[in-house]
Formats: sequence, structure tokens, C-alpha cells
Amino acid sequence: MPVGVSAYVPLANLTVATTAASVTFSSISQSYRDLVLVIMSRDTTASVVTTQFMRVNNVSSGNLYSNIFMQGSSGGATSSAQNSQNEWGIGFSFGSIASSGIYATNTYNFMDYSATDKHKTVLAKNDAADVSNGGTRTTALRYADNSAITTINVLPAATFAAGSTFALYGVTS
Amino acid sequence: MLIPLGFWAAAGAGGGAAAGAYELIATGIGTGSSNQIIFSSLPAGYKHLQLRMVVGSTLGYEQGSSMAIQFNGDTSGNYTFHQMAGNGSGVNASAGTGQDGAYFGYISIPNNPVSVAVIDILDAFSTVKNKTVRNFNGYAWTSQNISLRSNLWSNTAALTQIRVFEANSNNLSTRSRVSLYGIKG
Repeated sequence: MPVGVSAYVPLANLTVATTAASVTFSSISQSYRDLVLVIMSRDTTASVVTTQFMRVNNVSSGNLYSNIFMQGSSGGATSSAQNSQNEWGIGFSFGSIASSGIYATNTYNFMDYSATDKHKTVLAKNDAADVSNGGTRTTALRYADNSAITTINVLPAATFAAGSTFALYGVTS
Repeated sequence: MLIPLGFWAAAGAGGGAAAGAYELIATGIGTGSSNQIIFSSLPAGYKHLQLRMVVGSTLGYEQGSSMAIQFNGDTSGNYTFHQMAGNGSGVNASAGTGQDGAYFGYISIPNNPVSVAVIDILDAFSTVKNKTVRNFNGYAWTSQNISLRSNLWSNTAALTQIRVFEANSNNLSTRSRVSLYGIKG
């Protein structure tokens, strides 16, 4: 690795102009060690806070997705796990009736995403900071397949609202 | 909305990015015959350090165990921690002093390292501050764990060595890797 070269490389950056039914990063380079996906999102769902979903490699069957999270909110500190699902559903988006100008933040670290000798584990931080809704969540997710991740699908509860941003970075090995 | 990345990735790959504040220092890969990866003679020019790792051992069966970090060869009880962790059922908090390293839990699955950690070492080269470590780690298997942990190394020496090791002397598998990054400030 040449000295003085950045190891944190921006790969793609998207801002939703009106609405988006989903956001997909495809043909992801396999040249990096980890990926970091940073999302700030609102959803057109008529709620204050709603769920953001994710799949990889366009896979939506086979019960390959599991996660565990620890959350702090006005309801206290809790932990929950979901095993053998067909997608991850642990991200936050603020909905259409949330205060204007606030976006939930979600950061996903896809560790060893290009490896073909292990399942894929992701560390995530998901935050929806509102006066009386939402929470802060730390999460470990697993995709139970040895395939390299070449595609990431991010899905809203309804549609992503204008101003939502999605930034993907590669971390050099 | 589809974002094809073939072009973007080609432009960013191969070290073509400009010099930045976040740089890879070294990556260690498990050998299958050692329980540790050591980074020594740490280079100057950085303010903070970050470890990113995927770890598993050579055990032929599933077992919960611990990883640990020691600095500058210090194996004495100079480490303190606070932790909050979730296991899918509840959240617990704990703390301890007089530790001989900065520990965190992981699970070893045969031929499938699924435990990961991102660990920040703040002001790693300061000679007036004790060292603070911020650890974010977890795994999602049939058993699961997500943990936030802070560690203090009660020593103001600049870091010269970081030892990452399997705390029960199980060898790290060849599918394990630990990468060290430097952050300028």
C-alpha cells in the first residue's frame, strides 16, 4: 500500500431528487477490504419513524439474513434478534409526519465483503434522533452465504423521500 | 434507482485516490498456528489509529471466547473497561479495573469467522495522555452479541506496538484478518 494514499475511497454518492422506490449499488468493485455505506433518509410513509430494509446481491429468499441489535430509546435499553429472514429490517428512516429537515442516519460496515470463504458480517449504527420518537441502535448483521457482495439493495417502507442521501466508500486492504 | 459502479470503482481502485487523512498501515492475516497478530514499530505521522478485524479460530467446534489487545508489551493490570452489550434478549452493563488487556467477546465457528470489530485508539501517540480505546464489535449466529466497550490503558507512553490475540490461546484461523489504519490530525 503506497504511503500517503487514502485508504477510504468514495465509490458512489446519491441524493434523492423527488422520490425513490429503492436504491441499488451494483457492480461493486471487489478491490477493497471493507465497504462503508452511510445513509441519511426520510420515507414517504405516514409515520414519524419507520423501518429501512436491506438486501445484498438481489437475494430475497433462502432465509439468509440475521441480525442482533441493542437499542436505547425513551422506552429504555432493549436487545432483540431476528434470525433467518429474507432481508434485514433494522435501519431507520423518518416518515412524512416527522419534523421537517430531520433525517435518520444509518452507517453500515460490510466487513470482508469481497471474501468468498466466509459469511458476511456487518456492523451498523442506526439513529433516529427526535424529541420523543426513534432511538439509537447498534447492530450486527449476517448474510449466511460465502458469496462476495457485488450488489447492495436499500429499500424503504414506502418510498425514499427527496433529500435522502446514500454514500458508499471502499476501505482499502 | 440503480447506481452501476463499474466506472466509479475503476476510478477509485488501484490506489489512485489522492493522499488523505485515513491510511492503511498494515494488515495481518491469521496463520493457523499462532493466536496473535502484532503490529510493531508503529509509524509516526498519525494522531489516531483504527483496527478493523474479522476473527475466528482453528477450533473444530463452535465456542464463545475472547479476543484481547495489549499495548507496548504491557501484560500487567493497567487496563480498565466499561461495557454495554446485548444478546438478543436483554442489555447488560459491566465494568472492571486491573485487567491485563482490552478484552472483547467473539464466537469461533469452524471455517467461518463471523465475529467482527471496529476499534478506535484515540490520541495513540500522545505522551501526556493515557490511551482510550473505543470498541464496537459483534456477531450474529445462533448465539449473538453486540457490544460497545471503552477501555483505558493507564500509560501515557506513545504506542509503539499493538498485540491482538485470542485470549484462550486458540490459534487464529487463516480466514482471520486484522487491519490497522492511521488517521491524521
